[in-house]
Amino acid sequence: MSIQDMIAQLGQGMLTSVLIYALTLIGAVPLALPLALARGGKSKIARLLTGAYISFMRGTPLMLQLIAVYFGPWYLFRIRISDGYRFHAVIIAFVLNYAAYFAEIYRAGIAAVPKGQREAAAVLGYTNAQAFFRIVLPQVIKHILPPMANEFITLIKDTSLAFAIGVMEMFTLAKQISSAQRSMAPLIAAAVFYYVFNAIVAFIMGRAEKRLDYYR
Amino acid sequence: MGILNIENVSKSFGSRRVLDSVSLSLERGETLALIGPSGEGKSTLLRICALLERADSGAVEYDGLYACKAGRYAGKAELAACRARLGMVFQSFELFPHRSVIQNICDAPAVVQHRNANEVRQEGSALLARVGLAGREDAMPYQLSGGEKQRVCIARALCMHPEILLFDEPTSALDPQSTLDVLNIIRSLKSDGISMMIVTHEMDFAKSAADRIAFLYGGRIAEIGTGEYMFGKSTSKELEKFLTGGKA
Repeated sequence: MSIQDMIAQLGQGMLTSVLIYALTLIGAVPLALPLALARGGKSKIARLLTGAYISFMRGTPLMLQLIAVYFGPWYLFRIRISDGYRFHAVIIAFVLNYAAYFAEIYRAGIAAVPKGQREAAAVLGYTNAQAFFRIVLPQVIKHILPPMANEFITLIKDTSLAFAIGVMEMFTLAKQISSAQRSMAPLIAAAVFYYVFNAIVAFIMGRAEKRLDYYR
Repeated sequence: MGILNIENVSKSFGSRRVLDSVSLSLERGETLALIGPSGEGKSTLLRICALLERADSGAVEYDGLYACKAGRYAGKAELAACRARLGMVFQSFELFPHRSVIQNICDAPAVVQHRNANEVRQEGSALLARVGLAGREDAMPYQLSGGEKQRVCIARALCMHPEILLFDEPTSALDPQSTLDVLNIIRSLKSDGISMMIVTHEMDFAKSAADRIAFLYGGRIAEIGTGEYMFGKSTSKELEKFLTGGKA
């Protein structure tokens, strides 16, 4: 296999990895907000349900969840699994899993905003929604950026778990080519890819944190 | 009837009864100081007036508009109408840290009252000048001293044109000079005709600036009257003990 072929194949895998990453964030970042609000909210049932959900998602391996989401429809309902479902299953499992982690981070961030801020907003006549989006949420974002940066970086490496249900992302391809060609090169290329990807995400998150430095 | 009327209001936290059938009226244009030992319900009473805490029973009424009648609170719209008459200044300031000084003052009038942004900004600047902070529009809250923060809070409350201003220990977190500055501003508001209720530990201020002083003790208003009465003629043992620091 020529170097060009190898790079082309790995490039395909990179694209898949980046796609898994982006779609997971697009799904999990907003989904975590209602979860966090329910988890810290007034309804006892909602608190219990979200608590159980988060506990389950954080307490079992992501690889197991991937397999469960992929094979679940067949085992439970005898629904035939199409090949196209493979990638969807990865995104569903990743979004469900990461939303649980993000929800806990949001909850801590919301709790870190003093109650007095909401009271001041209430006396000024803001509705609950206005107070949340204009007063609370901007402060929450500042609190949660560092722990979110951690999760964003972990997610890059977690995308390699998609191999468990045979999705041809970067790591799966690197492993295949490496054993077929008896060469270290694809693995080194994969390592460089993950490292650079991480560096880019860390840089962006660092910039975002700096941008919010204008207040304390 | 006053502009703010509290009738037979009781409030318990768990098994602890903090307010025991308290009745109190704030007259239009009056400055009323609430004094008393810590934990005797002053702040709770003020927070019930600010609609931040709910009374267990009794009535809370603002110039004919009931927020609470016989322990039952009104709906959202009525409560919002009551709230529109109120302003509050907190002990811990509660400026919004991510907003500049002028945004802290002007956001609510623009967003809640839908007023013209330019007009509100002009008024905000004028209010800043009034509280001695001319030209500090673009400062962030963390760049201000405690006294300056509290003055911005007063400007923020005033920009909403409240009829009633509630102060919860506005100077407890301030040094002596800042305390004097803030108290002088509160004093100056009297001439605007704003009705004010102030929880305070500043006895000299209460004596000189308040029209009436209410002494809360044991969840009740144990004594109420003018400064002259409270600091000389009252025969209340508890008040005497409180004013002399327990030496009576």
